[in-house]
This record gives sequence, C-alpha cells and structure tokens, in this order.
Amino acid sequence: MNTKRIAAAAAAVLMAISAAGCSSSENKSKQLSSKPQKGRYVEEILDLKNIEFPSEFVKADGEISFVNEEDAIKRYVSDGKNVTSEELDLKFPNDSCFATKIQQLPDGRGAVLYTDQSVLSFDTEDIEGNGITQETDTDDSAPEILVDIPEDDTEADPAITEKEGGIIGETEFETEDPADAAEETAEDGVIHISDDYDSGSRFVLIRPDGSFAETEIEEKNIFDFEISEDGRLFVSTFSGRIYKVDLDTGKSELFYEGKEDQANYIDIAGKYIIIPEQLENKVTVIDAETAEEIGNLEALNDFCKDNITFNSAFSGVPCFDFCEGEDGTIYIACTAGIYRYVIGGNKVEQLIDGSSTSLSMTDSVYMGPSSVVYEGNDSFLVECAAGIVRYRFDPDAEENETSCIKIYALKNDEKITTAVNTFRRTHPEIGVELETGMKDKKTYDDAVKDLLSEIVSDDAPDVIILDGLDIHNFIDKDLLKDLTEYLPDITPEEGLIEGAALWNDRDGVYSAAGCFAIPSVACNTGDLDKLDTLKDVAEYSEKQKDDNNYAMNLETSFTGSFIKNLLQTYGNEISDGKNSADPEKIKDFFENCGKIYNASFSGEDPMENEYEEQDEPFYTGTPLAYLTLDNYHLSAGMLDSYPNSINCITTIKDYNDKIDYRYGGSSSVHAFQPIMNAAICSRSDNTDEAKEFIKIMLSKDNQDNYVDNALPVNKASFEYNFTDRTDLFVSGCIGYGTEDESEILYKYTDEAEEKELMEYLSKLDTAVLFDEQTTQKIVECGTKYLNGDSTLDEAAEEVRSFLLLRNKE
Amino acid sequence: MKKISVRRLAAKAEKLPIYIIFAVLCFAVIYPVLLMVQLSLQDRIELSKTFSPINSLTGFSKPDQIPLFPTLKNYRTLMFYTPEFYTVFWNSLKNVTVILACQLLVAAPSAWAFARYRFKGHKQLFNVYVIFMLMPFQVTMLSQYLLLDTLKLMDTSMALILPAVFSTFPVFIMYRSFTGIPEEVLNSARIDGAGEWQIFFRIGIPMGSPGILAAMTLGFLDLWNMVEQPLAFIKDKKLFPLSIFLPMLGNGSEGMVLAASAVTLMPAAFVFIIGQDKLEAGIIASAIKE
Amino acid sequence: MRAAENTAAADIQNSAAAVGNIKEMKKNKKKKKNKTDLKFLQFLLPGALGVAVFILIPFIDSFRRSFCTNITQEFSGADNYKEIFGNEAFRLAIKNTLRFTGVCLPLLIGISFIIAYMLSGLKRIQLIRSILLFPMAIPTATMVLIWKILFSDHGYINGILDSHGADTIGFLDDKAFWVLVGSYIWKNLGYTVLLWLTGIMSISSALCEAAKTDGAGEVKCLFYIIMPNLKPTLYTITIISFLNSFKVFREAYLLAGSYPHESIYLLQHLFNNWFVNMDLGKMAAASVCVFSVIFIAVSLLKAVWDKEEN
Repeated sequence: MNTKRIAAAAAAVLMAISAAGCSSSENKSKQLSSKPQKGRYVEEILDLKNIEFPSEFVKADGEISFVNEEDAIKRYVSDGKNVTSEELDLKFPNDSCFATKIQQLPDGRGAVLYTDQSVLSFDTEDIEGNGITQETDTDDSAPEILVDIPEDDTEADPAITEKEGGIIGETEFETEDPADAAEETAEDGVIHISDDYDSGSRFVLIRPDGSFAETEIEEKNIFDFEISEDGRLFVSTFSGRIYKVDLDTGKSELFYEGKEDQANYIDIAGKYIIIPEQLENKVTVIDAETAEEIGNLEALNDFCKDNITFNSAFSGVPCFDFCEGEDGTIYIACTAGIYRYVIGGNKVEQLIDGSSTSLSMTDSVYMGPSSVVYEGNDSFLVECAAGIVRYRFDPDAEENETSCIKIYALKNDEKITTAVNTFRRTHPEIGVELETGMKDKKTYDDAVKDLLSEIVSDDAPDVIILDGLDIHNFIDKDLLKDLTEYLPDITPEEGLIEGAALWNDRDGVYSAAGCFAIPSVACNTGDLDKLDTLKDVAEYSEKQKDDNNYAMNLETSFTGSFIKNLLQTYGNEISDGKNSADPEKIKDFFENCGKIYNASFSGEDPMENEYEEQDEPFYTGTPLAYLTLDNYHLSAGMLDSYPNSINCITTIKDYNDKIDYRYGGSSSVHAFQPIMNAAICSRSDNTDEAKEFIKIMLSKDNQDNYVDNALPVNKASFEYNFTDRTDLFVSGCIGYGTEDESEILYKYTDEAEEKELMEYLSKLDTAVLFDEQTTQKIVECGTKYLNGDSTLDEAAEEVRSFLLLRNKE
Repeated sequence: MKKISVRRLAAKAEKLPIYIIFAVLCFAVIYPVLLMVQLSLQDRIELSKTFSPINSLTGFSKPDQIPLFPTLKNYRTLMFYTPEFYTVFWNSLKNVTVILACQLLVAAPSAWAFARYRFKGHKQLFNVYVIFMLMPFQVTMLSQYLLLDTLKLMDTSMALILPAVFSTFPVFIMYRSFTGIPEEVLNSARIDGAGEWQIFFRIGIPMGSPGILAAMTLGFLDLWNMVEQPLAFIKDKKLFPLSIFLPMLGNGSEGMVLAASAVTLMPAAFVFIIGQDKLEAGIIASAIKE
Repeated sequence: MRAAENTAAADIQNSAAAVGNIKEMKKNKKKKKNKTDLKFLQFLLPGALGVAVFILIPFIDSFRRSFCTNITQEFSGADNYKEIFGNEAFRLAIKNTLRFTGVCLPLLIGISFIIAYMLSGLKRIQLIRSILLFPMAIPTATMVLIWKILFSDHGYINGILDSHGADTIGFLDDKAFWVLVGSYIWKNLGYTVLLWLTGIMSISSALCEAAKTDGAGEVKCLFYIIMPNLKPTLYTITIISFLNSFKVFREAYLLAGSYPHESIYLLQHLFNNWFVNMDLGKMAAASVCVFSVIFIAVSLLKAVWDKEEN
C-alpha cells in the first residue's frame, strides 16, 4: 500500500535525521570535553587595593595587563601568579581629562579613549536630567543645534529645537536665533548649537613614553576599541563601522562596514572579532583577518539571548566579555558563569557555574563581569563586582575538601550567592553545592516534590533557605532543626537585630533571617493617624482622588506588582498566623486593592504604560520619593534597603514638611518581612558545617555586603549606614521638587531619625511571609480583578476555595 | 447493457445519512488536530491573533482557520536552531523502542503462560496483574523513587526504562488474543514433538499477533507521552524525553510548541498507519478461522 | 473351535494390550500433567520477577508506610487511616473520581458501541477508523494548548458566543468537568470503536445470517447474538477505559494546576498535593484504600464475567 510505504520511508528518514542531529552534537561536545572529570575551579579574589575601575584585560607576550581607569596612573601586569604594578605616565593635555578606556601592551604602545571636559560644550547632567535625546542622520552623531539657555530661566520656544537633520528633545527655554549663537564652553545648563560641536571625546594612541599620537581615522566619534594580542588595533565608531588602525603610524583603513548607525562594543578573541548587538539581541562574529562574517552561530546566539545583558544604567556597557581560548575556542564570561564555545559548533558548554561563585554578584557599577582573559593552564582572570578574581582549575580541590554541604533554595538570589562566596572563602576545605529548586521554569509543585524526595532518600540538603516554602508545615513535620542550642555560637559578637533575624520561634528557633524589609506608609502631614489599616488607606486614597485627581503612586505601574506590593505591606491583615492567608479576608483585601488602584490611575488604561513587565519593581528611589515629584499624596510600600529606601524618605521629609511617614503600615503592629531565612534540615548529616554556614551568613564579614541593597540583620553592618557614607553612589541629587523644581539633595540620617528607626526595629512582632503557592494565587486572581477580567466576587471566591481546599487536605 | 439495480441505489442512498453523520463526527474529531497543524504553519504575528488574547487576558482568540501567510519558520527554528530538540526526540525514540522490545520479550511469554497454562492460582495472579496495571502513578511514586535510588538508577535512562518494561499492561492485552487460539492446534503440535517454546514461537506468536500488535501500538502511544515518570526521576536535562520538553516551552514560543507538537505527532501517526493494516489482517484472519 | 479360541485369546491379548495402553496413557497423562505444571514458569518467571521488583516492592513499601508516621517512620497503627477517612478533601476527591468514572465510562462505552455497530454495516471504513484513532496520538501538552485556545475565558468559542451577543461560558471553571469528560471521550473514542469492531467482526456472520433466515430482524440479531458474544470485548474495553480514565489527570493538571475547580479535583490531585505537603502517611493509607477498592471492583467484574462464560 502506498501510504504504508510512504509512512515507513518517512519514519526512517525522521529517525535518521534525529540520530544524525543528535550524534553530531554529541561528537562535537566529545571533541571539546578536554575538561577533566575530577576537581573544580577554585575562586581567588586578588588582593588589589584601590582599583576602582580596571580596564579590560590586554594579553600579549604572555603577560596580562590592565590599567586602573579611574586615575590612570598605574599599570598592572600579571604573569599568572603575581600582579605587579608600575607607574603610568600618560600625558593628558590638561587636568580635566578622564579616561573612558585604556589599553596598553607590555611594550608601552596602546590607545586611550578619553574625554576632555574642558572642551565640552554642554553639561552632560543636563542632558540626562531633561531627557533630551540625540537623533541625527548625519555621519557624526553630534547634534547640530545649540540652544542657549539664558540665565533667568525664561520659557523656551520648543519650535527652534528642531532643525532638519537634528532633533534635541524638548527644552523649556527661550532663545534667540540659533544660527547666531556662538560656540561656547560648558557652563551649567547651557546647550550649544553649532556645526562644530565637540563632545570632548578623544581617541589617541599611546607611545611607550606616555605621549599621545593622533590617529588618522575618518570619523571623529569613536565608540569602542580593542587591541589584539598581536598588536592590531580595531576601532568601532558610532556609525557602526570598524576601522583597523596601525598602532605605530596611526594610519587607518576601513575594515568592516557593519550596520548603519549602530554603535557596538567589540571584543577580540583570537582570530575573531565579536560584535554583540544590543538592539538585535544577537552576536555577530567576523574574522579578524578578512572581516568575513561567520555563520552557523545559532547556538551562540541562543545562549546570548538568555544570558547576555547590557548595563542600561551605565550607557549600555556590556556585562559580559569574550576572550580567546585554546584551539579556536572562545570563552564567554557572564553572570551565569564562564562558558566555552567552538565557533560554528552547536553547543555552548559551561565550565564554571556563576550562581555559586562571585561571577553572579552585581553592584551598582558592575552588573556582571566586564572582562575576562584566559591565562592558560585552566586559569581565568575575571573583572567583576567582587574585584579581580582568578579561577584556577584544581584537580585536587575535591580531595582537599574534608566535607561538603548542600544548600537548597527555591529561587536563587544574589544575597544567597554572596553568603556562599563568603563561606567558601572562609572555609575552603568545605565544598558547597547550591541547588535551586525552581530553575528552568520548574513549577513550585515539582520543586518541592524533588526536595521531599531528596530528604526521604538520605540525600537531604544541609541548609534550606525557607523563602517561599511552607515553613510551618516543615516545622510540623520535624524537618527543621531547632537552633536554640547553637544560638550562642552563631550569633555574631556585634549583635543581631533579633526581632528580624530570630523571628521563627515557635517553641524553638527554627531559622535565622539574613536580611529583612519593613513596610511603611506616607501621606499628608497630619493624616497619618487616619491610616491604620488597608481599608483606611483605600478610603483615604479615594478621598484624595476626589480632591486632587491623583492619590497614590506605588512606583510600580502595572497590576502584578501592585498586588504583590500591597500583599507585602499589609500582609499582616490577611495572614492566618502562619505562612498562608485567611480565606475570609481575601475579598476585603481585593476590594481595597481595587479602590487604591483606581485612585492611582484615575481611569487610565494601565496597559498603555510604557514600562515593560519586569520581575522586579522598577525602582528609581523609593515609592515615597515620588511624593513630591508628582503631586501624589499617599504612598505605601516596602523599605528594603537603607540608602535606596529608608534614607530617601527621611531626606524627603526633611525637604518638604508637608509629608509625613511612618514605619509599619499600621500603628499598632510592627510588621516586617524576613528574607533569606536559613534553616538546618533535621535529616542532614553535616549539621556542624551547616551551622557554620549560618554563622557566617550572620557575620559582619558577609553582612557588610548587604548594606547597599538590603537591610542586614547584623547590628554593626546595619549601623554602618548611620555614618555619613561618602562612598555611596546614590548620594547627590535624588530628584526634583514639583513646586519649585529645586534639587532634593540626599541627606544622611540624623540621630533622631536613626532612633526612630531603631525603636521600630526593637519592637518587631509580626513576620509577614507567604509561601509561593499562596502568593502566586493571590497575585494571579487579584490581577484578574484589577484588569477587569473577573468580578470581585469571582476573584475572591477563587482564592478562597483554593485556600479552603488546601486546608482540608 | 448494465442495469443499475434500483435496489442497490436505494440501499446506497439509505446509507447516505449515516455517511453524513460520520463525516460530521470525523470533522469534529479531527478539527483540533487540523487546528494545531495549520497553526504551526503561521508566523508569530499571525499567531498572536490566537494567543495574545489568552496570554494577556483581553479580547478573544480568533485563530485564522487557514494560515494567511503560511511559513515553515517554526519548523525551521525547531529543526535547526534548537539543538535540544534532537536530543529530546532521540531520547524519546530510544526509550520507547527499547522498552517496547523488552516488553515483547517479557510480557508475551507471561501472557502466554496465563493464557495456556491453567496453573494453580493463575486467576488470582492475573487479577493482581490487572490491578497493578490500573494503579495511578502517584500511588507508588515515592516508593519507586526510593527503590530506584537504592539501585543507583536515579537520573539515568534506566529509571524510565526498567519499570516500564515490566508493566503489566501489555500482558493484559496480549492475554486476550492468546486465549483465542484453539487448544487442538497446540496439542497436535505437541504430538508432533514440538517443544513448548517452539509452540510459542511458531504458533502462539503468529496467531496472537493482533493482540501483540495492539499491545505494541497502545504501548507506544502511552510511552511516547509519558510525563510523570521523567518529571519525578530525571533531573539531567540531557536525558529528558520529548514529552516533557513540550510543556517546558513557555509563553512566547507557541509557534515552536505547535511545530514540536506536530513533529511529536508524526511517529505516533506512523505507528498507526503501519500497525493498522496488520491489525486489520489479524482481525480478518481470526474471523475466517471461526 | 480353534478359531474361536484364537479369537478369544486374541481378544484377551487385545484387551490386555488395551489395558496396558490405557495404563501407559494414564502414565503419559500424568507425566504430561507434571510437565505442564512447571512449564508455565519458564514463560512467566522473567516478567514476574520484574513485576515483583519494580511494582510489588514499591507497593509493599507504600503499605508499610501507611502504618507509620511521615518522615520519622515510627509505627503509628491505624492513625493514617483514621485521618484520611475524616479528611474532607479525600472525600471530595473520591466523590469526584467516582462521579467522573461513573459518567464517562458508560458514555464512552455506549457511544463507541453505537458507532462501531453503525460502522460494521458499512464498507470502506478505513478512513473513518483512522481519523477516529488520531486523537490518541496527540501529546497531552498539545491537547491542553488546543483546549486553552478553544475553551479559555478569552478563547475561540467564547469569542464566537460573544460576537453573537451571548454570555461567555466559564468552560474552564464550573464547566471544567464536562470539558474533561469531552476530552476523555474525544481521545479514547477511536480505540474503543476499534475494539468493538474487532469483537463484532469476529462474530461469524454465518450466525447472524442463519438467524435472519429464521425470521429474526436486525434488532433481534443485535440483542440476542451480537451482544452476548461481545462480553469478553466488553470486559477488555471496560478495563482499558477505566485505566484511561485515570490518565485524564494529566490534562486536568496541565490545564488547571494543582488546585483546580472543585468539580475536577480528583484523587490524583490529592495525592500530588499530599506529596508536596509531605503527608506521606496519608498518601500511603489512601493508596492502600484505592488498591483495595480497585481489587474488589476488578474481582467482582471478573467473577461476573466468568460466571457468564460458564
């Protein structure tokens, strides 16, 4: 029968294809797997002081060198074991130059991209602050128009900001005929229009004696450059082209045309130039000799889509790096780890897992490793938030370990990784395995089932991070060890904020929290007394909306986070005393959320908001910071870090006494949210090591890492924020007043404010914590209600029946 | 001159309403499959007509019944840009073929034993087999997990293969067709001096082939879609079968999910097409015997 | 006289030989019986061993667990059993499962029989048969996706209803039960029809024709000849459909998660959630109960069928 034959033939073909596809990828990976089976990569953070912004690594003549871009006075060279430094004597034309990027070969030749502020013709801060965008279609991306801002700040005529070929956003200042305006030097608030616009950016070659030499590149505005190991210099410009420049003579030739007007960072890895394209979310690789594009990069592009990010807060600086490996491979360093890829192959192989090393650490400057270089002999140098780190493969690493602990967390988090790293550094003889339950889109159910199977089959984790899990059920089932006997040992000598750390005290202490957050509410001065419950807040917001059109901003503009935020801030009202919710209180909760939501948007369609859905709320300051910015009169939310949250609201209150705030959503309850709750599993074999982990998690050494982005429980770390922290990046202007538009300058907390905070913290009594299933259900149904997809009754009933059913089981 | 019998026409006309009913029935049955296949040929923009109302909860899903801009892009992405796909497909294929082959080796003799030999307690034991077949997976999930862990088979293909090989389901299906073989045939073979295994191979298997094929066909479909066991026993992504690869593709890649579904469907369809004829032959043969 | 003597002697000889033969035959029979007593083992043993290891042992472990506490495994007697019988969720799950089985099994068997009977009178049914079989090949995840497209609150069917001004139907909420029943029937119709057809076609047409010449009508033929002969087929179909009715959990889970609408909260949902909550004792006790119930049901069914056969 014909159909039968066709079917059989097709089946055979399909089998053949799949077998071929599979075996070829297996083969490729076999070729690559020169990685030995035993041992692992050991991390070592190099002890190099005073290096704030190291440049990218340059490898040449067996040496790896980098420069501290901050002051550009020292050059560091590593030979694989030691790092030595030597003085740099770069002859900048004047003192107001700062380097954006420097690379220098061991023989002294190099290049530098720097900005000469003395020739700047507008104040960059103005551009950022007024939201002026640059868009031109000429070769030079320089704006063509200068707008002179008169000193008396009168209104500007926006029409003159448009001129053919160039648009500079909207300004609010009047001016005279722009064509007559002359080029002037930078002054506060002056934007100059001229044909000879100069951004101050300079690109020059460095001679061994430190003097500069000009290049002969056609285009003036250089975006990025890179020097290869054999001394070739490649330069990428704002127009998307790449030029090859001779390091000695400065002569340049066009090397690669690229995409028009798309400025890209470039990376040289051996005989390839790698161009990550942020907008297209893909990576182009060209041959460093012939400029030919390499194809067959689907595996690489797939990998990059998921793992490569750019730091949007820092003008799109890449948070990853490529470097050359052995035998035509390239290495990729990103927060997910260090990977190896053969150009044209179909597998990107992981060598070092980022989640359990410093690679995944981020801070305000580094959102990922910025540079990586392969030193040879299975050793890497990486620049990342932790500093300059070396990863060396140690085949005996596992043998040197006397024991090993396993840490389980439902969702991984940087705070956990930081604690793991601190632990590793302090106890290199104890191996650490970090297991994430809900990775790879695994559901909560499956993750917990896995955990349970492991516990029952004697493969129990030693430390369990309880966030999101059904904590009280774990305690009921005797899965957690009572930590009371360990308390004297694990409590750091500096002391803990005990209400926050040791809250889990149902006849015994079952976990210790590493960080916490506190809810707060703010409104017009004098009205705080009226706000005691969520219902009060809802009614107040309705009244404010009637009076003032807008009532509230929770700094998140989309419904998912809206519900979640209110759930955290006023969660104590619907909590059932454990980590679930009271089924009968859901309806009121949703109703109040709905009122507040309507008051916040005054009927606007929230879907029209330009912010895209994100996992984390979108922070620029705190919810309360918006109070003065946009005429809002009410705000509530969680304060989860000192510089970014707590200190912002104290500053704003000082600035504007029309607003008053309170810690805690309600005056009678001192609620808080414990984060990173570490517990020891009762079925663990390594209780001593697990106890060590918790001890180190609470120690000042580790907790100091949390001072910027979280509220640490270690007293000394917490109180570090009471000092005037000049090291803070956020200091300076945090916003603008709406009435007089003057700057709000960040002010450190004074003693009274600190006392107020500590008083609240000393009386913490209600931990608000929901398990993942409950949170998901409430957020899901609440969002449906806010979007109008369900009625209040339907949404509440769905949550209610879920909770009741769960209780029945 | 051929006279077309009026009666024949009438008889055919009588059957017409039945054919119409069946046409409607078949359309209703096949519509979801057709929907899936033709959706897999739509590009992302066209697919958003179907999926964005469901994902964003506004408006109603209006799938285009025929792709207006048919494209093979989804298949291309799947076949050429998704290396994992080959791995999972091959895993499924490998697992299922191995399991089926071993089931044949193990279950057919067991069914033969139940069918032909009235040993003591065979009824009770068979009942127990049936009940084991009916137990849902969740009932013994944890205990099976522990057993596999003790045998150090966790996170290997064997964790999926071994328990499935000894499933009692094929025994049940094959039993029926083995009981249908008349005893005289076997006895005459015995008198001719054939050994029990020879009888099994030369007579039992050919005559019981409808049952064996039915067991293999049903078994294939069941195993091809096996979901709970891999989720519970396999953690290594390289060993995942196709059946759990599909649910793991999230929102946004619906095109690829549809293409992957169509491709998943194909082997099962082949099994039908090839197996059906043999089944039919077997049915006819057994009918003639009567 | 000699001839008679000879015949008598021959007779005696013959009968002696006959007796001898009978004796031998008896001996042979005994031998055969002994041999067959053990022959089955060589066929049964490998399978039985595997079943014992991979299915029986886990079940015995479950049985043991049903009498112990959760994680610590201390003996706790019938505590778990007491707990589950008082457990509301358990009762709900049993009620739903029974309701589901009680609704969809007869529906499926009945509808498929009608279709099979109609098909048996037609020629060239191969295409129809193949089409009906198709749904069985579709992976569950795909099916769920299609159901979502068709039945979700913003799905295709609701869209059609809405455009005609009718109210939308909450297919996946309160009507979820019927969606599940429909999904079950859609999926299993093909194979059940095939099984019926196999049964119907194996009934010799001669029987029915003979009856017809005796004056019986189509209907009598159906009720008195075909149906009785289909009892074995019915048994097989019932068991298989029963088996497949458990598999519907997968769809329910992928569609509605672990806490679906009350009407489709089945036994496996409960097992799943007990597992997640680490209520292992309850899980084990409930499994033992489920096993017992199925055991009784199947034994009853078999007993009825065997009686009919005799």
